[in-house]
Amino acid sequence: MTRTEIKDRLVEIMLVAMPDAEETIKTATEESNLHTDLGFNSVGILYIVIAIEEFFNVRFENVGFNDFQTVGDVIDYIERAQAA
Amino acid sequence: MNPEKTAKQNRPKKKRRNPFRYFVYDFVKFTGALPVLVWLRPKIIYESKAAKKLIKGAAVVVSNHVGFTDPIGVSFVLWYRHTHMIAAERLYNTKLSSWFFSHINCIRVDRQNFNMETFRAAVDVLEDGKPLVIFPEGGVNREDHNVTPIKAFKSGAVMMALKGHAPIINVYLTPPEHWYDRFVIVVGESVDPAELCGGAVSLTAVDKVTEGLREKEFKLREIYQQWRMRKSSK
Repeated sequence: MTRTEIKDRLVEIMLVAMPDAEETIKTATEESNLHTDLGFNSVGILYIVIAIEEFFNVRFENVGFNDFQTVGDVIDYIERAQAA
Repeated sequence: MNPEKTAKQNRPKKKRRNPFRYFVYDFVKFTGALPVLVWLRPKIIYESKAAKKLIKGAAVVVSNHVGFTDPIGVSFVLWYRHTHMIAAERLYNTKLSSWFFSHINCIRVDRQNFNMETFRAAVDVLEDGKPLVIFPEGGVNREDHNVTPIKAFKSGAVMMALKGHAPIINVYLTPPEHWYDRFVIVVGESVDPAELCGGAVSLTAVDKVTEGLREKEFKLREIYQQWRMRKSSK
């Protein structure tokens, strides 16, 4: 899966999580901050992580949710997990 | 190929459990029961007849947090079960306390940097059919109980219940005014978070269910106040 494809899937997941923030999420870039720009709190990140685990068939190990600041951080993690 | 043998091989292996995993928990429970019963003299009030039913299988028990005796208070409600609790990381600051809390079924949580391991451990407990106790206020409410009786709830409990396919049971613990006050516990009816969320589980739906749980705490508080008024008028 390419980085762009991962990002598209991630955007889909985020849209299901927060349908009210459709415009903000659709225009999100890899540099967008999950907390300040997109408005995800720790439970929001938890939601995304659960969905990613199910969708991408990866497992998040030994990471705190503060480790993910931007959309790019999450994509990096998925890429690393898929490569492992 | 023997189909019976193949079916046996394909069957998912049962997790091996340590037969003594509840030894410390049971020891603490049985040795501590009498002194704690004498000291706290718990009184349990139920919201309805349905709330009185024994809690079987997995359940997420959410409660307000008024003091250090709260885990004991909730244990009175679930005295017949092996309960697991989410405990703050600061309780694990020494080797002894770390050993103790791990052996009395506590799941360590880093409130500043929540991680997936905590969530997975909590869901495992629920999938194992055990009750999980959470104080969703995220710590003891040290504010004036007349001004802020219950602080805002964090939504993690609802997420755990949804992932673990478990019902949620509200418990309200009364803040004691004096050390010798009786410990009054109000138990609510169980609710199904998946049903409350409706079809699609979004963060908005999770937040709504969480707010509903907090409102339920206020309802249970009213039940306690009515009981107290009836008691004082006698």
